[in-house]
Amino acid sequence: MAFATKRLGKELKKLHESLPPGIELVSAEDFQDWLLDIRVLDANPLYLNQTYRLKFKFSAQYPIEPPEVVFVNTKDRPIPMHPHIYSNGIICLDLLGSQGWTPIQNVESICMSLQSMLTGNSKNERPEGDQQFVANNRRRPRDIDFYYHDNTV
Amino acid sequence: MDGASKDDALEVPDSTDWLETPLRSLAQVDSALRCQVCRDFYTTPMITSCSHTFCSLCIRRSLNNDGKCPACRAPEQAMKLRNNNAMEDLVDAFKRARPDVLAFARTPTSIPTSSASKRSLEEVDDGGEDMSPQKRRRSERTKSSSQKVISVADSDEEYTLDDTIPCPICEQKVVLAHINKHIDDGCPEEPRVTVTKSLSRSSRSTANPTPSTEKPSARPERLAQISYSMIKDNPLRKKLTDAGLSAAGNRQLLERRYTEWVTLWNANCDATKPKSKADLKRELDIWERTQGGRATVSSATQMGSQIRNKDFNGKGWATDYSNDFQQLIANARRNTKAPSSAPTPSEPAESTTPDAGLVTDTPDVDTVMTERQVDAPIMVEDTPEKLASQTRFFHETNSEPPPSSQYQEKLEALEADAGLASNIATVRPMQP
Repeated sequence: MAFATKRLGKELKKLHESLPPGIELVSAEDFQDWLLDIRVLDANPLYLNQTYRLKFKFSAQYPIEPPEVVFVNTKDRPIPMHPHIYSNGIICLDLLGSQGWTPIQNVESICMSLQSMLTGNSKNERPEGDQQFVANNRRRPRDIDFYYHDNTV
Repeated sequence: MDGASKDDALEVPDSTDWLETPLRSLAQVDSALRCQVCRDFYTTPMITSCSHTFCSLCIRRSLNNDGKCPACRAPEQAMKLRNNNAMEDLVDAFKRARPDVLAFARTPTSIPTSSASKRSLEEVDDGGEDMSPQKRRRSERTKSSSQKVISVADSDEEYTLDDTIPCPICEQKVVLAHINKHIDDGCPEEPRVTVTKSLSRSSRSTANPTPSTEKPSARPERLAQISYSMIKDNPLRKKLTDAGLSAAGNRQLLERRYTEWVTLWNANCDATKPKSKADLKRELDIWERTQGGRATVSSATQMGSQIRNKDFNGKGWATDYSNDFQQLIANARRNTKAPSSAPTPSEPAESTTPDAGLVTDTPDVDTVMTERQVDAPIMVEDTPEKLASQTRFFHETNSEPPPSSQYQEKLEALEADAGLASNIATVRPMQP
């Protein structure tokens, strides 16, 4: 069994048994694409009573390589407003790039990082150049060279 | 991933096994004995210079990727890794004890409370019985082997076949039963007995004198990762062939294959009981099937990622599939024209002048189409006849240098920018 499958099997088992508050497993039919819902736990007015859907995409190199994680937009699952989240759901977070990723991160830790990234935000805005990026980007998130400048998130 | 393999994965023991038992606190012990990368019990644990421990294979793969410790991101090199023997012993011991303890903990009545019935107490006793003989056996073994060691020091007469004696030639300690083979083989290194000095280790190997017979020869030597920028294709192919590996595939695949092989090989060199080369090749074979040249990615995913790759050759793609694209465009054009069919039929004919012999058919086809549209305004079915006429029509209209003026612009755009084609694929994963 490939090591990605084995490791994801263990993670999935754990997710089925216990999940931190505000994180929910929506679907994990295979070891390639998983959907999870997250919501913030405090009363941040930007995200109050909202649930957001995350899509994880794992490569065969997981966990050596990071998974591809984006927010997806569905009927009752909007893309959260955040200066580091583009309106197409692509997230600019060093943890998810090859520079910031380490193999000891996992699905649960990513979800928790994103929760805290939202919790700590007070700006009701999109990243600079959002429209242009969303219109022109055809790359996968992992191929985008983000410039991580903001250490406050 | 088929259902079977998924089920297998779900049955893999995990630290959460303890959470539903009264021994919840053992979950932390269990988890501390697992590698943070693979979440499995440490296999050949190695300690980094920043004092973090990982499986040999996990840390080597990880270092190949970014040269940093996965736990603290400190720069690290594979050659600085050292075996963490204490951890290995601990993992071995825990793995042996785990099934029994878990079974014991899962026995519903295993908490001996004052209110427990007589029957449950009996069960507890049974569980205790299950454990104790093993415990006793092990302590006996330890005792006897330590006695043996003492007796070796005391007198030469009391050797048994399981004891170790210094080899008369190289003075290594060798299990008596293997001394003749050892000398015949030219005194190969006997790692278990010579390298480890701790009592537990040597007693384990004497109690279980297999390693020297299993191993064909001395420990394998580590391979050096090569600097791929310094080596040309053919020498690299030769290296792979010399190692008995496949030299098929493009340059990138060759590099990845050799890197994986060196990683597997070196991790095996760290192991207490190295596997055979054939086993390693089987592991490389698994890699080849899951990540290498024979990786079976579902065609849709493969297609998507192929297009999304930033090195994707848009021009080539546009050329290869120009017929398909043109057919699609023409299909779309038919469909949009269908409701307001009046102004268009003559248009393709105008643009298709060079080859008169072929073009003459076109208006007929269009007439046929228009008639059809009158019969059935909603074009749903593609009858074989219609399909054939369509194909013919598109071949004719599109084989000429000046394509229909109305679409020329779009065709050019399509050719210039393969992204148009990939747009669909790019958007899909984010907005399913």
